[in-house]
Amino acid sequence: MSYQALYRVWRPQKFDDMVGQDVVTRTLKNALITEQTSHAYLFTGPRGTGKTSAAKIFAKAVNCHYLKDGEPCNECVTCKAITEGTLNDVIEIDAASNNGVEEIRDIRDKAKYAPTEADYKVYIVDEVHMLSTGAFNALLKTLEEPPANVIFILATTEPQKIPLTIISRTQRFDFKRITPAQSYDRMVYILDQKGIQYDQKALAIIAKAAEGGMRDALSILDQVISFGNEEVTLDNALLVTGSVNQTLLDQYLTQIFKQETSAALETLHQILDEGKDGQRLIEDLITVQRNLLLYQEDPQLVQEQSLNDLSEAFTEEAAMVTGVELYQMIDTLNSIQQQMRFTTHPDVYLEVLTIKLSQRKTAKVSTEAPTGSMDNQEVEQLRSEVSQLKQAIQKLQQNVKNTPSNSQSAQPKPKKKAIGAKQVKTPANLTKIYPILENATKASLNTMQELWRDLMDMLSVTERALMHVSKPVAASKEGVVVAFNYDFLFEKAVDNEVLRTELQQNLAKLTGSDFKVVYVTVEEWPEVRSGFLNTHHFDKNQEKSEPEASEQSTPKADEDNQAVKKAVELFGSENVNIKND
Amino acid sequence: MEDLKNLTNQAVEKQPEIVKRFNEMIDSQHLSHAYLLTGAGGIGKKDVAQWVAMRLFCIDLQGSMPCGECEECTRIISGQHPDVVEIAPDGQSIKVEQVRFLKAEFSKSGVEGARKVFIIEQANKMTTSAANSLLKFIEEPSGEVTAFLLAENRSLMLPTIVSRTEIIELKPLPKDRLIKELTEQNIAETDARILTRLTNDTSEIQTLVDNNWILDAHKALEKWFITATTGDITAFVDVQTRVMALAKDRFYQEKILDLMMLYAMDLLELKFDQETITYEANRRQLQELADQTNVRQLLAVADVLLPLKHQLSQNLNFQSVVEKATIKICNIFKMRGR
Repeated sequence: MSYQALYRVWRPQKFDDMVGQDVVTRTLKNALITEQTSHAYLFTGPRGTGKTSAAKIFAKAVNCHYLKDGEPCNECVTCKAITEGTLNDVIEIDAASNNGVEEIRDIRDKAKYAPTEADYKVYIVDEVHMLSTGAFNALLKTLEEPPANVIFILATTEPQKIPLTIISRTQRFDFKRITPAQSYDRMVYILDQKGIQYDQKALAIIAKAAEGGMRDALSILDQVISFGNEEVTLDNALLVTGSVNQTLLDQYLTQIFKQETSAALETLHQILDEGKDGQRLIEDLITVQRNLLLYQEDPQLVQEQSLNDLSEAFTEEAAMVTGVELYQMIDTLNSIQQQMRFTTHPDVYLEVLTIKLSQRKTAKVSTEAPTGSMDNQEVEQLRSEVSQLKQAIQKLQQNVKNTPSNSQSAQPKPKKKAIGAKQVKTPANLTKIYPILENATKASLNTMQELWRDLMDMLSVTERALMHVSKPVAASKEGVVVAFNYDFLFEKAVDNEVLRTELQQNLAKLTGSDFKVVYVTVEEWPEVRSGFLNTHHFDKNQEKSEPEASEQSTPKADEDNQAVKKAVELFGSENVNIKND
Repeated sequence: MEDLKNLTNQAVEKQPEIVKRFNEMIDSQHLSHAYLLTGAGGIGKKDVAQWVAMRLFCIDLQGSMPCGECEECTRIISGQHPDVVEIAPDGQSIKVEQVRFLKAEFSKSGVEGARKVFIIEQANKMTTSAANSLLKFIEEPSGEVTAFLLAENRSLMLPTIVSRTEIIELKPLPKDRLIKELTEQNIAETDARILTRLTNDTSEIQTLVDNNWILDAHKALEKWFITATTGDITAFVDVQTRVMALAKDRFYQEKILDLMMLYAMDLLELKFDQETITYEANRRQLQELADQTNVRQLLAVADVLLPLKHQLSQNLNFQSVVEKATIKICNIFKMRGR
């Protein structure tokens, strides 16, 4: 005989062997003891919960003459024959293959004849949901009042497909999913019987991966055993279930909670390269997040539920996020999981997922909490309007101040122009740039770059043309340094006071706070930066953080600048893209 | 017939670990009755299944490797072995009749020996009734039967079938090897990179390379994507004038959607300073685009593009799906403008 899968070898042979179905087994046993068995039963429940097993045990029990507390003896001739499937009076029918009216008529005709060997003729109709409507209806009358000594047991995973007229003629038993703890115990029992070494954590992982199906659990266990040469180890369990190893999962989650998107993406690639199943990864993530949610409410409960003790990382993670955020993340996970079912390229979906999860806070700023987002939008709109009005008032006040000397206010402009015209290059306005640089942070630069496109969209066409080749290169909370690719455009922009105010106003609209806008040329920028660093005597630390503030220039700007200049000369500045390595 | 030997090696080459696992299982008499092999197309699922069949039947085992030359092996490879039955989708799906045939075939004992093997390709394409009628049979087959169900995506299988099998996930092939193989066939490395993102299947890659399809597609979609992401509605016209010519049938249509997706992914990757991107040749251009856009917009684009394949699989018209997506993308990029 070839090797038999564990779930076939260890199919329960009496009610007490069945896992996690106390209500069902007790009811059936009592019915047998008091001899109040019905003529038709309907067993429903998810896969691997013991429907077919229960049906077979029941078939044995009604026919066994040595019934003990409602359990079949498993030793008499009838019991053995039923276990081997050789008794003619216990008929197992696969309704999925015999789903037509013809087959049911056949059953109906044969049911009339008395059992040959045993006391009862038992029809076990498995996968009964696949019967056609005609077949169901043909079965109705027989099911209602079958001949004496005939018992029907219908088993299915999808009770919603069974006509109500069938259900009302049967006693219905709902089989429950098997909890991880129960399947864990069963696996321990089987392994002890077989004398196989096991790692408790490995069994916990298998129990979880089985998702409430005992057969799933045993199938996986089988594989782990054969994989690990008669030993159940944690590594093999992880490999076979496709679960991500806990440390990697923790690392990934921590990075997401800390919003380190790039790092999280790298971890994701690492996970995918190991050939992990995307679906399983999402399921794992949902489970962890659910546990985190529960943990925040009731730490004790989670401790008890999870079979392995909670890791330190878990408690740290729990402190990192709020419940609302977790809800949002679970929503995102769910929707991606739905979409992913139809693809054969899960990696793309997982990457988007990673970014979405780690971006949740920025997303929150724009939409706030999901509830009442309409109100929030309105509030935001009102807020920006108020700040706009404030600015308008300020300007009016200034204008009022300046009215007597209106000519004065106009004068500085031409002056500037004059200066600009005299020198071949307008020097960057260092007095304005330095204060911005002093407070420049990478974060503000990032937000500025995010906004830049929107900002450009708010300008008129001519202004946009002017600003088209510009980029923010450094930003603080109060100001932003904008670099131009061409001197010519730079000159134009410097002179254009209307543009500047427009930019500042629009920025105020977008961010809600006032920004100063200062221009430099791309060529000049590295010099300005290094000049700033020199004059302000930044210590090493800050110098290190400072280069981050600008993406456009290298730390060794001075040396590189030569090369860059040369390159610009050779190729024209539109073809030269200066990048940090 | 010279590639017979080749086939035995392919399984070993593509999935050495899985082959080793099966080897151990066969040696220790632990071979179960049903396996579900999952993994992307071209990853070697069928190679592995056939390898196991050969390993079981070969009369001239070389150590633990089937020889690939004896009559048993030859017949398995050419699909003529009476005790190794393969079924594949007949048209769009695997029908009940095919499963019935399989069951009938297996209620008989082996023609030449006791052992039988059956291989169901693209098992996720079984119709509901086909899958259901396989259920009882696969749970407790009689005699020495080994079933291999091959599927690209496990979640599309009936859970009751999955729970009756041992699931084996095949590892994705190392990209670099495939890329190297392709560059040896005079395919530019940048193109090879794109191709490997689309599929692992060498025969599929060949169809894509034929008639320069991939080059044309690359060009057309590049134009389309860049126009669309600048909020320029003329991208809508591109769909009709450029993209539609490329979408000859369902196969190409799916690949086009994948290519579009990959552009959006590249932007996101660049946004987050990832090293490897798909469209290496366009790196500069994409970097610029990425700088000009914000994460929220890019995520919105991804949200538009991700469900497209599902829509296509529900028999929506390809052109209208893409056109709608184009309009949506354009809107994302000019939302704030007005």
